[in-house]
Amino acid sequence: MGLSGELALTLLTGVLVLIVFALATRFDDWRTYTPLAGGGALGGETGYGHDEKPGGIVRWLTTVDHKDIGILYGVYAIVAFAWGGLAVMLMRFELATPAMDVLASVGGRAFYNQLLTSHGITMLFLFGTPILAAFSNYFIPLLIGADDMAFPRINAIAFWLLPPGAILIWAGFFLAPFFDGIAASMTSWTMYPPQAVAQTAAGQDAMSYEYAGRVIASSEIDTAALNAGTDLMLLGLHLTGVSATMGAINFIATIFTERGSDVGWDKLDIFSWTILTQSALILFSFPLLGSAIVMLLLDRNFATGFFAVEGGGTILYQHLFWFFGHPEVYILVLPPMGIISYVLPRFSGRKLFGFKFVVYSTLAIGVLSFGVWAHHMFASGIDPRLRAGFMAVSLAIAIPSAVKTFNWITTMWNGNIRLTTPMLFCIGFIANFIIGGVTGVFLAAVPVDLILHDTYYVVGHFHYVIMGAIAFAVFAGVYYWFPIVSGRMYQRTLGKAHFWTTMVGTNLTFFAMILLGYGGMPRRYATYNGVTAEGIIGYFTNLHVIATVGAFILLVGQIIWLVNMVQSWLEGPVVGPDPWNLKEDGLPSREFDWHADRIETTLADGGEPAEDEPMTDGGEPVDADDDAAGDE
Amino acid sequence: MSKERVEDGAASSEGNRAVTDHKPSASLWPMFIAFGLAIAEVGVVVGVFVFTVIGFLMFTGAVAGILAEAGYVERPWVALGVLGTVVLALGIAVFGAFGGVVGGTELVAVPNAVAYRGLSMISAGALTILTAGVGSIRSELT
Repeated sequence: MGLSGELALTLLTGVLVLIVFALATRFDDWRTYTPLAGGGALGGETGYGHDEKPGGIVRWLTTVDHKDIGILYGVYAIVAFAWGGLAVMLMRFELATPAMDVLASVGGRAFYNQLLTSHGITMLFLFGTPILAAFSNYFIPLLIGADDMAFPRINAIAFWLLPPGAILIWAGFFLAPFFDGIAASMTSWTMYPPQAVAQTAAGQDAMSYEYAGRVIASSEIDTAALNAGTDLMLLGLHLTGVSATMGAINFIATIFTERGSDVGWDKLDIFSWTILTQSALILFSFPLLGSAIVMLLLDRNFATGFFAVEGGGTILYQHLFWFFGHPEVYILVLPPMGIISYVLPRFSGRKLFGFKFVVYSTLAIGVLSFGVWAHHMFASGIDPRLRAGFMAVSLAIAIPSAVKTFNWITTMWNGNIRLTTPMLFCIGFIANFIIGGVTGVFLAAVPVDLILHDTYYVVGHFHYVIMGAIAFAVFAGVYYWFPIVSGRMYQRTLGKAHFWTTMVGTNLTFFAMILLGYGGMPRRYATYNGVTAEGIIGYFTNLHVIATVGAFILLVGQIIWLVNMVQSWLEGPVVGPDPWNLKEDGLPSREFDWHADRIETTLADGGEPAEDEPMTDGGEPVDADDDAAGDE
Repeated sequence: MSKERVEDGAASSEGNRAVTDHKPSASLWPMFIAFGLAIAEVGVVVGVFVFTVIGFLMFTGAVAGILAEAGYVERPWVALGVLGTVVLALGIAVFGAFGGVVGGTELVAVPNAVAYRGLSMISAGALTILTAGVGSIRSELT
């Protein structure tokens, strides 16, 4: 192993790090604190001043301010969203024709499987969880009247674990051109063993070998042949899990201990309730993912047998994974539901209908989510009596979900509805969530699941929830809070274009998938030219083309969104203290009060005054009379 | 060093903000803690000697730094020494348990990839302790 060479290299590194460390300690004094710390004579809000932070790029690398970290989370999540989105565009173009065409020259089926794995992991762990952390980091302290998070430095650590996590998760793609034995992982996001334990860089099985022209199965893994890309992905995933857990602990501590004296539990807003529940779910479920990943790594690299047949077996992995995996669905969907519950009433001119019951249903979903995991395993041959129990709980979870849905609809009922862009996304959320939810109720029933398992029906179902609901709520939040974060208003027309392309694209793509599932099209296949049944191949092809067209429309919509965000951030009209005219309806909210305070403080400081009057939903000036229906 | 006091659980006058009283606005260490942990993790699991050493040095150094910055310890060097000792002990345990041998013609022999990882952790721990010692002496002198 060339030990002496490595020892010399190590010594050199040691000296280097020593120098860096010595330099770093000299930097101790550049770090400054809020000048009024501890005094409080001029009010608590002074702590939000930006003047004390270091300037330039160093500010972003060293910040522990919750708002800065929220922005960092947001930017990170958008990069991940782009990666996952582009991966799936390649997959959709490939699926437009039955045979292997588009990807044939870049790796064929193996490359498709790599894209599939990367798309799933990226969207769930690198986009979904971080974009919600972006909202919660920025707004939870503002909403509960805290100066910052309870542990600002841990907050920063949690964020900085994510970039190395992403690099490791994607590392297979970067390293594949340079190393023969490394490729991006092909395990799919569920990472089921034995595939995840014994897959080579070419997608072959490292547990079998060829002898005299025949493939012989072995109980031993040829570890040298394993794909190191999978190891790196598992490590990256582990880091993101650690990050999510640290964040969750921080949010629980913050919401419990840092609330302002005027924010009792009865005054806690709905978004904070959902973040609190989500954090509890993360706290109880992510360690399971971490453990399962460590066991996979040990099985792969250190010859343990946790998931070998003579050990716990592959079903053990499925139990561990889905005990995490199902709560993960609610980790991803509860805060978006909170955003909807928070934003929708502001544009309905009414308070949220049945606030208490929305909170109760959030808590109920949180509890029930830990009792449904085996519905992902109905087809794995587990005991039918277990299946019946899990079916009952899975069906029961529809009740609190329906409570929320009806409360949103009732909030809008007879309300003074303003169809601003965030409101459109809220309504789109409800529409898509109903389709995603109802298809889920069917899947919860064992006999239906056994027929639809591993078909595109499942893919359509969860994309209706993840893209149709979660991403829609994220966009609603982005548009609603854009004035606070950027101090400017986005372009209304582009916002509307974004909504309609996203709504049409989502429904084209994912409804086609539901129909594909009814036809029996299995998921995770790069090609379907092996289908010979008369009529079916045409049915599949047509629906896949529709889904691809829908995905393309989605891509166009997201490009519009990105252009809008960047352009408006730089050049949008500066907003005033109440850009949504919330005061008129008597629906003030704490974060916009803070926003107004900040503007006032900036003006007092001699900052730039706002040149234009604030306008609802961007673009044109709004009359006092018709501002409500201002846009449509 | 410690500009920030950690309250002993008593609520401050403004509500029940019991965790830390004064919020920092910037800190050098969080990024290094995260990167150090990631590099060390890759080093140990994939078995890359240099990554293990850099990763552990960065991680333990930054943890010691953040502890000192937040006022949980008086000086970072003792904390660094303790962390280095933990890494060293872990390394020795792994090295010993998987048949690593000291002495003989090769001076240090690693019969398998796991003992090799143990050796890399020993190196990381030893260098960390060395760093802590040097730093401690330096700060004594100045």
